[in-house]
Amino acid sequence: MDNCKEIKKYLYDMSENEIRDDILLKSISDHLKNCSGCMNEYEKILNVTKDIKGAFLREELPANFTYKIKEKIEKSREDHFSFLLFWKRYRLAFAAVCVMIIFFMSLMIRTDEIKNGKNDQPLVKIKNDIVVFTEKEISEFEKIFNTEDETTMHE
Amino acid sequence: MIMEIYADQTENMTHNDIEGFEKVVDLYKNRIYNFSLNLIGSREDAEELTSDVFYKFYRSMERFQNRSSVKTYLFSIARNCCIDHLRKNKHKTVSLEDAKEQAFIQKDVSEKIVSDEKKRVVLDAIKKLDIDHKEALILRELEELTYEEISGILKININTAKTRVRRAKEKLMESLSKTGGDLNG
Repeated sequence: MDNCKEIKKYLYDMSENEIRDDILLKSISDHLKNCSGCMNEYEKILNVTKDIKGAFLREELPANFTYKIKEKIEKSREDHFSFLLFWKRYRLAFAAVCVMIIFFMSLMIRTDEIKNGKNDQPLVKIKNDIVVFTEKEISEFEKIFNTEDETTMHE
Repeated sequence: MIMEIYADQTENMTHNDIEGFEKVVDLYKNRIYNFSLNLIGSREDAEELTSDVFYKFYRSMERFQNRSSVKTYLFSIARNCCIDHLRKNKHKTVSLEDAKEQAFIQKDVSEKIVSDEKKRVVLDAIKKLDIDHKEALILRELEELTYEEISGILKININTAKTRVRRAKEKLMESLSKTGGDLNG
């Protein structure tokens, strides 16, 4: 591989030792030995990497940092336990209040429906000008008619 | 090596294993702090964020079990915290007192750590990078993580991680050549 354009594709990987293929690595190394342009590019990459590494801020946290975090965790645990204690103590009262609220709300809704006449069921259901009976109603009618027939026959 | 051994030990931590948690804090606190410091640029905020990271880690220790390595998991939390912080403070107006305070911190940081001009120029150029490139560069060059680890933290594929680091370096070279930064050591 002697094409500079092809070699330049691998220069960043080369600078980070990311090329695993030995043949490719040898081919790039050989090219760099003989091509000052590519070598110059490669050195720029190495130098900028070195400069970046050197410029980053590297500091240490104060020695009491771990203690501070432990304190924060302990505080949150205490808050959590105090909530649990509160819940344990008052959960029955809370449940009773919820039941009462649900009961009164359903009562209010029911009363409202009766007032507004929403709960008035029609005597018969009419669909497309045809009176629709339920199966239960039909069986009731059949019973009545059968009884009437028997009475007529006796007469 | 020692870090990895401790990291393995932490795989079996339970929610109340405060001893295991302390080991993790001692091992990674400075790495998480430096990652945050270089990403957001404020010492005070970086310390606060580091504390948040470990607090969140403690609270999710049970859920974390065997999901990924402790290191990758901590850096993921740190990255999310930093991004949230940057988003919240994007349009923050700085009062005069805050500005003085920040100027003092900046001066302090500049004098104490970035002692020579060249480092300052490079650091300024890094600060100007967009967040995607900056975080990838910090994870690679400061934290020396593998591309596999970086891809796990940033939730991108390995090739994208490589491209981001490469692009960051190209941008820095461009920017430094404009400002006259000497890259030849």
